[in-house]
Amino acid sequence: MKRFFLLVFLFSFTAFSQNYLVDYKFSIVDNKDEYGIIGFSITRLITNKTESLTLSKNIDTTAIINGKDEPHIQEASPFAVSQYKNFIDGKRFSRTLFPKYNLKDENYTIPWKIEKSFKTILGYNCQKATGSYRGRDYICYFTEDIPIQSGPHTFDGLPGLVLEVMSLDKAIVFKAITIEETNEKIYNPFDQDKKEYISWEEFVVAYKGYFEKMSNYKPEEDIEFVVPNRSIEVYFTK
Amino acid sequence: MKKLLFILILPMQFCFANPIKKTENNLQSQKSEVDPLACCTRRASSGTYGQPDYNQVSVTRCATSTQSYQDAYARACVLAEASATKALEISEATSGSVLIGR
Repeated sequence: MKRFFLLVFLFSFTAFSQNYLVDYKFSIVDNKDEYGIIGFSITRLITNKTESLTLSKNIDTTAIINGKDEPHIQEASPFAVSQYKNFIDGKRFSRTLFPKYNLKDENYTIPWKIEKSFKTILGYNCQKATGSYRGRDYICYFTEDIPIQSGPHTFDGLPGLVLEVMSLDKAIVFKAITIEETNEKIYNPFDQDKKEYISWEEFVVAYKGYFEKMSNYKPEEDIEFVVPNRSIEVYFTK
Repeated sequence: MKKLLFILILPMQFCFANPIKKTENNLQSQKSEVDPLACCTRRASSGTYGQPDYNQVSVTRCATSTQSYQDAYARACVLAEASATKALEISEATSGSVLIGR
């Protein structure tokens, strides 16, 4: 009888700590003005029920966007850690472009509205949800076949794993391309950096200051620097 | 009397209209002799697309050429490429100097 309980305990522990590795194709094509970003990458999510670690790599791309003369060209890069999330205390961590500070974002939760619309992605039955997040409206599809409240970037908190995300302005797209079980470890890599953490609100204030400095910088009469005012999140409107 | 006036004024119109036409032609020929101007935008970036560590700067430079528009465009792109690399260095120095007070 003791052996039976031990087996049940071990099984439940294994099931609870099951890690999944999901690769998403990520694209950001936000070129409605010069303050947007264009980029293509693979986002790798390693996740279980309590936490997730994200790695990202840029992919070789030459793309003509909206028939413009100048193509968007980018080179491939190796995978690098980009985000850690802890679902128990609802925090996400990442680096920032300010080398002295890392981000600890505690207010990223998206209030989703679950809809009665379904589609199949990679063989999984997925349900539609809609929501707004920091300046954009989104449609996403999650699957209860993998009952983990996780997903790429900040797109989580639904009854199952998020496999597809698209902003209504079509600028942001995440599409799952592979899903597998994994033994890869999940940890917070940013604690090792020994940097001060800043909140999302502090990041946005600092970014606005940086944006203004860069916009006003004129090394020569006919040169103007343009830096983005948004990413997945709209930091501020100009 | 009216007929006489008409006969006198009609040829005068031709005399005034002709020089104006000539001036327009001169302007057009002057325009085609101006060196072509072309502009080119280049960007430099570091960090991860979509993440708060992403750092991007775009720079537009313009150039003229005595040869062709294509040559002017190639010159503008060389200038923009060099400026974008420099701009990213300036951006990294600017973001590196940010201190967040609490």
